[in-house]
Amino acid sequence: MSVFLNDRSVSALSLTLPRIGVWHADVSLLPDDEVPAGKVTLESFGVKYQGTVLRSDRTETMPFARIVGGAGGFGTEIPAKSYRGTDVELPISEVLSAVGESLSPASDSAPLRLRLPFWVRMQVRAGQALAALLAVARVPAWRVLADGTVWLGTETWPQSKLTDFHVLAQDPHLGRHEIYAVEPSVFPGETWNGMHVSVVEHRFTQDRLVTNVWVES
Amino acid sequence: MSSDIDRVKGAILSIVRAEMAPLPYFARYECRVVVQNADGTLELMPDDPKIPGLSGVRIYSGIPGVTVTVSPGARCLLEFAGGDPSRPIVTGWEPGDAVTLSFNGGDQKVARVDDTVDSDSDMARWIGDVNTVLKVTGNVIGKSDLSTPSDFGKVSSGADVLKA
Repeated sequence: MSVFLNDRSVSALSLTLPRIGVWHADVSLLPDDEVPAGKVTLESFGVKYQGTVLRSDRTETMPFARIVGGAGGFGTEIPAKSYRGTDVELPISEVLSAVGESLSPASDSAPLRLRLPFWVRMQVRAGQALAALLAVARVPAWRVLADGTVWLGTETWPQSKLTDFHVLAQDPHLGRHEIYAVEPSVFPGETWNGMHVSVVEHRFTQDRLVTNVWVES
Repeated sequence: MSSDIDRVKGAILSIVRAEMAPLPYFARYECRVVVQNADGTLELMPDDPKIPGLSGVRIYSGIPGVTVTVSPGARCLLEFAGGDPSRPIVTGWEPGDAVTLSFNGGDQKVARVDDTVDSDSDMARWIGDVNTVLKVTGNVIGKSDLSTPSDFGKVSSGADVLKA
């Protein structure tokens, strides 16, 4: 089992990967480690996640941090701006760049070419501005990827590579499956066990690893 | 404990804020006209600093066929048709700010009750013809010469529907 924050081992991790939105992690470090800040790299079972420390501190015994994917800028208020005669990609890119985020090149390009005769952005939080643009562009899904960029588009539900796992518990009414896998390589937006994955949560301590998979259908 | 509760409150507030995000686009905002473009659209500067300056905004006068011309500095109300950020429109004005109102593209001035009816060159020629007749027929009405009046009185009645 291997989880690292900036190449240093962690004592505990809760990593939540939603299909829509920003992934986040709660990390507890070792007692002698410094309290992390700023941009960090979280390595979880071979996958490197680029994020930013949202808040951090030290308990009596160890430092901890809440990390969010990308630059953590979606809660930042951005200035008002108006546009005329532009593709929707421009205001989307400017919302993201205004708060240090960036658009993934893997995003669907077709909806970003929607022509807007006008667009008026009020002084709002970046997340709200983005949501309004995605609604007009009819982009059904967005999330921050492991590399910290923002992906926009329509799900294709590719098959998950996770085939070797043990089911520990199931809540069919919640659509939750608690599993153990040596390498829990399942991600939101994938098809796993014939089901569409909505949220993946990894819970790791030095002696235990559990993955919760929430499915939509 | 209080920080945990504040965090929960903050999370709830974020959810509420996200759901309420479209609401500001259903409000109306006071603006100043910077300039009116040749195509009749407006360059606007809203009073609220949370609204950006806008370019090329159409006027919805509210009356079919009406075209409005305004001066820079005119005060108006901006709103978004259907609450859509891509459809800004001007729908209201402070009283007294229109330079012209035209109907169905017309460019003739409208006469009102008490406006004077001017004399023109045709009337002057007619007066001249009358004077010629008077000189021939003599002192018919106690005058042998008429002068062309500067106006022929005032408009005495008009439509009840349209007032200006």
